[in-house]
Amino acid sequence: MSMEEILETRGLTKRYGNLVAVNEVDFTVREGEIVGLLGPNGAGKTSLVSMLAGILEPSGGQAFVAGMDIVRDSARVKQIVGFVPQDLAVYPELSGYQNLSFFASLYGLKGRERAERISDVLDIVQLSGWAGKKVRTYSGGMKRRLNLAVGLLNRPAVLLLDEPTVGVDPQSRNHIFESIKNLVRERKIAVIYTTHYMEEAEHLCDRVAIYVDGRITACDRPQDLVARSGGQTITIGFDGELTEDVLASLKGLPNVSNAVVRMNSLELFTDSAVDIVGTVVARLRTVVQPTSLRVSGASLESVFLALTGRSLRD
Amino acid sequence: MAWITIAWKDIRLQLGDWVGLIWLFVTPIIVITVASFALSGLFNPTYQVFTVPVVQLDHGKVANQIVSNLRKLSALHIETTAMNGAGKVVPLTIQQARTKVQSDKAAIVIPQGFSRDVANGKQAALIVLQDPTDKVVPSVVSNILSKIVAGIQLHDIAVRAEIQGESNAVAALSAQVGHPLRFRLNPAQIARSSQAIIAHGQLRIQAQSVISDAAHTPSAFQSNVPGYAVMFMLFGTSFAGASLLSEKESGTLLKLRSLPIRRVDIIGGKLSSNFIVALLQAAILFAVGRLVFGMWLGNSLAGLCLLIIVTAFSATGLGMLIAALSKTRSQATGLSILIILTSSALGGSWWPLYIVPHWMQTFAHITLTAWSMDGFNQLLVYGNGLSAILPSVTALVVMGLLFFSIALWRFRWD
Ligand SMILES: Nc1ncnc2c1ncn2[C@@H]1O[C@H](COP(=O)(O)OP(=O)(O)OP(=O)(O)O)[C@@H](O)[C@H]1O
Ligand SMILES: [Mg+2]
Repeated sequence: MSMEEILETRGLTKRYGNLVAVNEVDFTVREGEIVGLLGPNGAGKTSLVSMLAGILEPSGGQAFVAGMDIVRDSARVKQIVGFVPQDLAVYPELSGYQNLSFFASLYGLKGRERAERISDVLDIVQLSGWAGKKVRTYSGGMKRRLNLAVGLLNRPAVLLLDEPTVGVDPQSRNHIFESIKNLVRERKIAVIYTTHYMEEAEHLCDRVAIYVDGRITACDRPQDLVARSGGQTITIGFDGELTEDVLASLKGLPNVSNAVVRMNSLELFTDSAVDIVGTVVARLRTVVQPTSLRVSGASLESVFLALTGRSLRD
Repeated sequence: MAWITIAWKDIRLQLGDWVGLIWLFVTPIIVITVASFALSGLFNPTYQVFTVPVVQLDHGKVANQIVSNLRKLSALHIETTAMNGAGKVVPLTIQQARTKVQSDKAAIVIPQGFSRDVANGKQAALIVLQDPTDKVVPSVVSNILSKIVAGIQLHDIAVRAEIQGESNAVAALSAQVGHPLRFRLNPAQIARSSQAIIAHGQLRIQAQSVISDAAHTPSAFQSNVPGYAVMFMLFGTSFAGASLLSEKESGTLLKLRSLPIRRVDIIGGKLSSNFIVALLQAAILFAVGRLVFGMWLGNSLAGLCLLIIVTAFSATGLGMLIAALSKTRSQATGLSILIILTSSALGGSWWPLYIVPHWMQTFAHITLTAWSMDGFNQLLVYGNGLSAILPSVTALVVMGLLFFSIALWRFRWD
């Protein structure tokens, strides 16, 4: 799979005062590829995507879409980028059709072409039956689908989706996924998909970037991330209070990549559970009472925990 | 109790929003202050000194007498001169006086040959130029003038009667001494003119309106329709301007910025729609004024249209400026109400500017309302044409451009 790179960032940075929301991010997206940006609330996903959409001025670094600088060639970049903002950006007092027609006109689409595009995107989000109704009367999920439809109007070469499926029911979500996959397959478009849903990232994305505190810690195919992480999680339930120094000593064991405590359970990421499980239990016993033990294979979730020390599901 | 919890939350929210506070407390205080200063003349128990322009085209004895008697009155400030184009002080002309009447409401003209006509016992008239929009000042001036004239006449008649008596005495004396004694005055002539004055009665005081179109006496609609049109155009444009902020809050502005269009297009589109709505608003108000209340639209429809257009333009600019200076829509609403109510009280939407103190009339011209109302008065009250509203048109265009530039410069897109 040797596709052309259509998007590239170099040291892309966004600061709000002292806060660094996006911290020197380097990554590339190829044509026909869906890249997931997986990160918790406040990771800087929206900030990163907004810069690529040309609505937020970078504080540093550069980014290129189809070889064009996103700042200097902003107008031409916007022609080929589709952006679906995290917050709904449609006019509630207009109908779905009127909304689409308005945005299509701003892309310079006219007459028959505009009508075709509109019915095209309405099909994709399955809202054709509701097109004539005021958006105010839509359900939350339907508004989200319309929001997505607007981003597809210009048949973008690069599609930026900022958590587009929050509040969308599973059936519609699957349909949206299928549609996006089709677009990617048929038109070779590139998609950046931000989410804090592990399953979405695993399901939809060709590659997943683990994104925390404005940095991409790892970016690879989900299965490679899992494989590379070494692959095993030891989960030990306990009673009592686990001290910081014991946790630190566990993290320092050979073959342990990370350890986190969630509620009354310790999760330890390792290449080789067999070699260390005895030591771990022994050390725990010095301060707490272990109550259960489980060893499981790696998942994207455990990889995320291993790499960032954080859970996506707090 | 739930209602206490709800009340407490709402009070906290309301008192925590400084713009809300402005609108609730500061705006009424400012509007009350402005309105009270404006109307101070109506309630002040000490009388107001008003300015009366006097055009003295005759410098004979009687004319000078009248002017000097006028000057003795402390209630009047008599103005006989004006600055010419070169900055020199020259006698006031009738043309200048006519213009001044629009603010001073009355002026006196002493026509050429007045003193000679009086001396010769011919019909002589003083002219009081008056603005029929004001019922008080012109009649006060006419009254004062007729008292002065009556005083001069009485004095004159008395003097003449005395001279007559003297000359009769001289004649009697001449008869006694047997040869005519020379008397400096011609007794026959004096007798004739005194008789004439007594016969013809008083000098006349002639009222003359400065409104060129006498067929249309101005009604209250002439100033209320434009006054409220300007105020509500300001409300319309400032609320419409604030819709830019609600687009910012709702996220559609962000979306628009991700499209391959220029920022100027986004602002320009907003502006144009606000401008057109303001025009429609004015058109409907004036149409209702004309069709329902029979309001006279002046002598220059072109002038009226031009003035409405430039007023809508600068109002739109002000609306954008308010939006640009506010962070949220509710801030913009508070600021709009403050600015609009103050401008309306200060600028003459609610009452004619000539009734407010002089310093305030000048100060009022920081508002677009004052300029606009000046123009509407020229057209609808005085029946003047295009050239009379050029200062207003210029000021409104300049203000509009200024508002737009500052708005573009200060608007925060993020
Ligand atoms: N306009 C702003 N001014 C100041 N700080 C901001 C601004 N926008 C975002 N931030 C901060 O930047 C950081 C990144 O925010 P961002 O919205 O990019 O995160 P995110 O990954 O999209 O989060 P979420 O999953 O909640 O949408 C956060 O700490 C946020 O508080
Ligand atoms: Mg976000």
